[in-house]
Amino acid sequence: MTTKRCPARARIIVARKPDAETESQILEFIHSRGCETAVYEIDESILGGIIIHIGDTVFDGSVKTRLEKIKHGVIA
Amino acid sequence: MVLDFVEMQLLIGIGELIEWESIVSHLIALLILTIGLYILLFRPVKRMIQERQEKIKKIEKENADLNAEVKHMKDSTSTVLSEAKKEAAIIHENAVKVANQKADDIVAEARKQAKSLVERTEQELDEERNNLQDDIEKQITDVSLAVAEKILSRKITPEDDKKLIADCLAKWSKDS
Repeated sequence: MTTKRCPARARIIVARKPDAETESQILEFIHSRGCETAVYEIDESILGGIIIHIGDTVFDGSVKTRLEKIKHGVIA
Repeated sequence: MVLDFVEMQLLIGIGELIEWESIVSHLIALLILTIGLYILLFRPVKRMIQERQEKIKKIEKENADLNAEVKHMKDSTSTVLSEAKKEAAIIHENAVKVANQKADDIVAEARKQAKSLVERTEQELDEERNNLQDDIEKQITDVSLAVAEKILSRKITPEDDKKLIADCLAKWSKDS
């Protein structure tokens, strides 16, 4: 996961609105990646976890993606 | 006496009646006639008879030759017929062998094709079974995942979600 460019804004996708502590952790993370602010999107289809878009880099820790990986592992 | 007299008279009368010249001339005429008949009639007839006998002998000889030839031909025909029968038997035997061989070949080929068909069918069945199995596994997985998604959507609490996010952020920070 390499960041090609560091935009000022990171796109955060979560299943539900995070509490203050979690938001703080998220901001700390994106700051460490060179971003200043975060834009939140609520998408219940990811079930849980978080997806962070920073420029071209995607950090995907959603439950839905984990289930998809399990599915591919079972079928393969 | 009387009889002796008559006999005497008769002999005298006969002696008077017979003329020796006439007898001789008759004999000569008879001789000439005989010679003429011999030359003009008997010899040609005899020659003709001889010729006919020779002709008959010739015909008989030809007949005998023909009979011999017929017998020879008959024997030869019997031999040829016998050989033809033997040859026909050999040809028939060979034809039966060839026919049996062809029949065996046809049966073997049919068995080979049937075996190949069975193998191909079994292979197709295996492929179809595997495909079905894969489809079923995929469908089961899809259904399981759908069920898991439904369950997780209900079961993941805000605390669980918070912990998930914290774990992810920690992991990504550590990796970088």
